[in-house]
Amino acid sequence: MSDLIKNAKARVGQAELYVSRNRRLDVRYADSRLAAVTADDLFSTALRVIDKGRLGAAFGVLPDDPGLLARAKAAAALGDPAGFSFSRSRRFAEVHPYDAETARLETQDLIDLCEKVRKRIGPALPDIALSLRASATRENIKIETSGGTYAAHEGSCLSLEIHAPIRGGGSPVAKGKSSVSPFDVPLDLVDEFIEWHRWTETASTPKTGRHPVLFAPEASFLYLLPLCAGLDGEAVAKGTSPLARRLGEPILSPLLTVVDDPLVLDKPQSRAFDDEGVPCRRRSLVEKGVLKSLLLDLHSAAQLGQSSTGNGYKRRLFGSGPEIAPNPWPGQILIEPGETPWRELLSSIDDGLLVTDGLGFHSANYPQGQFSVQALGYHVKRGRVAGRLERTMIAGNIYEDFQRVLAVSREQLEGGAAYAPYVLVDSIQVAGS
Amino acid sequence: MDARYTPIVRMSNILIEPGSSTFAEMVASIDDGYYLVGAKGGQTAGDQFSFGAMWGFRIRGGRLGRMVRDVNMSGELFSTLRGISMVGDDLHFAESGGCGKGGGGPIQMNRKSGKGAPHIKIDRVTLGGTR
Repeated sequence: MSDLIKNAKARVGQAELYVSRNRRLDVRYADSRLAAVTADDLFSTALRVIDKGRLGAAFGVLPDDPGLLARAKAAAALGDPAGFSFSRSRRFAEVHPYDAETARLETQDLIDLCEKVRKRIGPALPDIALSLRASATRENIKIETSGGTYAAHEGSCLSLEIHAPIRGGGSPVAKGKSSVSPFDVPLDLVDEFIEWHRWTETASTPKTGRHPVLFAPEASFLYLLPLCAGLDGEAVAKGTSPLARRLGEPILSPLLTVVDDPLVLDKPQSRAFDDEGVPCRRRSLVEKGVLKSLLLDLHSAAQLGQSSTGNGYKRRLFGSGPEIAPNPWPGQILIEPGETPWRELLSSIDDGLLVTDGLGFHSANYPQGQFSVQALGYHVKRGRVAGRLERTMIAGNIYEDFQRVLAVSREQLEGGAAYAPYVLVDSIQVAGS
Repeated sequence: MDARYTPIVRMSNILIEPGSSTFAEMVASIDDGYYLVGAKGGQTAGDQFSFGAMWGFRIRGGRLGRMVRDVNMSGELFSTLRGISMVGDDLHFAESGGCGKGGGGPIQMNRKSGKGAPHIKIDRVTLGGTR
C-alpha cells in the first residue's frame, strides 16, 4: 500500500489514487517533409476522496505531490454527496496490450515508417500536400484504493495517420492505423488512401431527398456516439436518455450487434480495469438490434441501484486525462461484421452516398440520437463513385434511420470510435442540390 | 493553453464590424428563409465548415414565423462569406469566448478568444434537417 493511501485512510473515509505515466515519441510530416519531432514523458496523479460522505478530488503532475491529500480533503468539505464507494476489486482479467518492441522504437524508426509511406504515395499523387504522423506510446496506469484495490496497466501503441487536403481546398482525405505491436507500411491502407484521394478529383452533389447511405468504419462515430450518449448511465439516471427503461426492447436494426469488449487481447485500447479500478467485461450493448446493457460507472450505478459495468473512464467527447472525473464511456466497441464485401455494397447503390466522415457532429442534439452534419465522402451513382460530396448534409435520428439497415460488410476495420464494418442504411435525409 | 502544446496560430478577439441595416429591415428583406440564433459550436476542415444554431425562426414573406431548433448549417467558408448581403447595425459580443483548434495534434483550447458580430444576412446556406 502506498504511503498516500495509508495517510488517506487515517485522515479521510475513503481514497482512490490514480497515477499515470505516458511516454510518447511523435514524428510529423507536413507537405511531404519532416516538420516536427517531439518526445514527451508526462506524469500525472489524481486523488479522489470520500470524506464524511462527500466527494473531493485533486490533481497533480509531480510524482510525489505533498499537498494532494490536503487539497482533496478540502474539496470534499464542499463536495457533492458521493452516494457510492470506491472499488474493492482485487481480481482482474489477464490483459496486457504491451509489446516491448513498440516501447523500444526510436525516432528514426518512425521517420523510416513515414518515409516508406511517403515514397509509396508520392509517385501516385505527386501534387498533394501530404501530412503524416507516426507516434509510439507507452502508457502506465496504476489505481489503488483504501478498499484494497491495486491494479496496474501497461500498454503500448504504434499509430500512423495519413491525410492530405484535396485539390481546390475542402476537407482532407484521412486514413489511420494503430497497433500494440510494430508494423511495416500498411499497403492496403495506403493504397486505399490513394484510391480515395483520386476519387476527390471531381465533385458531385446529390439531390435533396432521401438516399441510401453507406457509412465507412471511419464514420461510425456518427451513429455510435449518439448511441453511447443514450447508454450513458448518468443520462439514464436523470431520465434524459431516450433509452431509459428500454432494456430488452429493439432500438436498432436486427442486423446490428454492438459489443463493448475491453478484454480483446491485441487492441491498444484494451484494458483489464476501468479508470475507477473496476474490472472490465465483454458485454453486448445492442444484440441484433435489442438493447442489452448500459454504460455505468460507480456513481451512475449507485444512482440506478446497480453495479458498475466497468465503464468509468476519464474521457469525454473532447479529450481525456487524469484531471477529468470518471464518467460512463465505452472501453472498446466492436460492431459485428456481416457477410458482404463493402465494395459489393457500394455497387448496389443506384444513387446514394459513401460517408467517410462528418463535420459538426457535436452541434446536433446527439444525446437524443440526432445527427446533422456536413457529409464528407463520395456521391455514388449507378454503383460507382461519381465524385467527392460537395455542399451536402445528412440529418436524422439513429433510432429511426438505423432501424432500416440493409447490410453490414464482412470487413471489420479500425474507425475512430470502434472496430466497425461498413453499414448500409436504406435511406437518410440528404440536403444537397 | 498548456505547456505540452507547441505554439500554433490563433486569434485574440475577433469581430465583424457593424453595418447600417436594422434587424427589422433585414427580416423584411427575406421572402423565404430562417433567422438562426445562438451558437452550439462548429467545426472546420480546410475551407469547409459546419455550425450549429441553438434555435431559430422560420421567415416567410418578410415576417418571423414558427420556432425551429436542431438546425445545423454547412458549406464552403469563403463563398458563404461572399454571400453576405446585409450587415446589421447592432454589434454584440458573446458573453463567453473560447475556440478549439487541432494544429495536427490534440485540440488546443484558446479560452482568451472573444467573438462578436452584428446580425448578418447570408443569401444562401446549406441547412441540415429532417424534412
